[in-house]
Amino acid sequence: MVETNPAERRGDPNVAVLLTWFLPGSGHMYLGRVGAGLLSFAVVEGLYALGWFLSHGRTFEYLDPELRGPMSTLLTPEAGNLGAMLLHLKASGFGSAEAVPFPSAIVLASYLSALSGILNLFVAAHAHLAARAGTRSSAAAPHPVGLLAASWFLPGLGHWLQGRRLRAGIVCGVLLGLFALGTWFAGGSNLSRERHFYYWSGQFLLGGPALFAEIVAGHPRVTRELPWVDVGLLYACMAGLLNVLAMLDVWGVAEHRWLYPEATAHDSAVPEAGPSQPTREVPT
Amino acid sequence: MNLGAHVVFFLVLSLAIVILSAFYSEVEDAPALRSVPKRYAVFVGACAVVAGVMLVLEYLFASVR
Repeated sequence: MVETNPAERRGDPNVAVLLTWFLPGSGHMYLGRVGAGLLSFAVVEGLYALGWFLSHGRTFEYLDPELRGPMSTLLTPEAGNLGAMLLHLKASGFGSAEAVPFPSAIVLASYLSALSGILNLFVAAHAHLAARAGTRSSAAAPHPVGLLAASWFLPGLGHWLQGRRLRAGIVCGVLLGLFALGTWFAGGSNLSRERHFYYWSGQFLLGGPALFAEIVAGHPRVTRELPWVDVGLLYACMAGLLNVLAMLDVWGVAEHRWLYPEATAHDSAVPEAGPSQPTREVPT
Repeated sequence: MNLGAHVVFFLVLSLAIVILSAFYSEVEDAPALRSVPKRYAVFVGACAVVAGVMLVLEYLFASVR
C-alpha cells in the first residue's frame, strides 16, 4: 500500500473500510461524500435485497446441513456485505427446515447476493482511497477501483488497461487455463453452487469467466464417474483465489499512479518497489 | 490412485501459484519472469520436504499396519 500524509487525509481509511463493510455507503458518508454513499448503499443493498427476495432467503440452504454454523458463511462472497449477510442469517437462517423445491430463480438470486458482496469490496476500496487521497487525484490515470473491477471481470484486463500487456496475457492465460482445466476435470460439476458451495465461492473470484461458464454450461447432470473431480474443483477454486493476487498487483500500481501522477509521469511506467514516494505539494 | 498423475497435477498447480506470486512480488515483468524457475524449485522442494516429514510422522506414529 502506498503511504500518504495523514494531514492530507479526509478521514481514517481503516474506519471508512470497516464502516463500508458493515453498511455499504457509510464509509463515504463518514468522509462527507453523502451522494456517493447513498448511491453505493442503494446499488449494493438493492442487489442483495433482490437476491434475498428471489431466493426467498434460501441461498444459504445450499450449504450442507452438517457444515452450517455461525461462522460458516464467512467464506462466501456475500461476506463482503457483512451487514446484509448477518441480517439475512438472522431473518432467514439457512432456509427451509423441510425438503421443499428451490424457487425457480434461486440461481440468479445467488449470483445477485454474491455480486453484492464483491461490489461492496470495491466500494470499500473506493472509500479507502478517497480517505487517503484527500484532494489529490489524477485525471489522466484510470481510477484504481475501475481497474480492480476490470481485473475481477476478466483476469488480466486490469493489467492490460494499465499498459502492462505481457503481464496481462500471462495472467489471463494462466488463470483461464487453470479454470478450463479444472472445469474439464470436474466434468462441469464445479459450475454449481448447490453442488460445491465453498469451491464455488473461491471460483466466483475469477469473475466474468466463471459466471459466463456457469451460464453457458453450468449445473450439468453427472452421468458418469469423474475420477479427477477433486483435482478439478481445486484447480477452478485456485484460479479464483490467484486472481485476488493479480487484482492486488493491479491495485498497487494503480493507486501509485493515482496518488502520485507527477512521479509516475517522470519515472517509468510502473513504480519502483520499496519505500513510498514523497508526498507532493497540493494546491489549496 | 495414480501417484504419478497426482504429482503432475501438483506441479501444474504449483507453476500457476509461483507465476502469480512472482508477478505480485516483482513490479517489472522481466525480473518476475527470471525469478520463476528459482521460485518454482524452492516451492516444489519445500513442499516435498513437508510431504516427506508428514510421511515419516505417519509411518512412525499413525500407521495402522
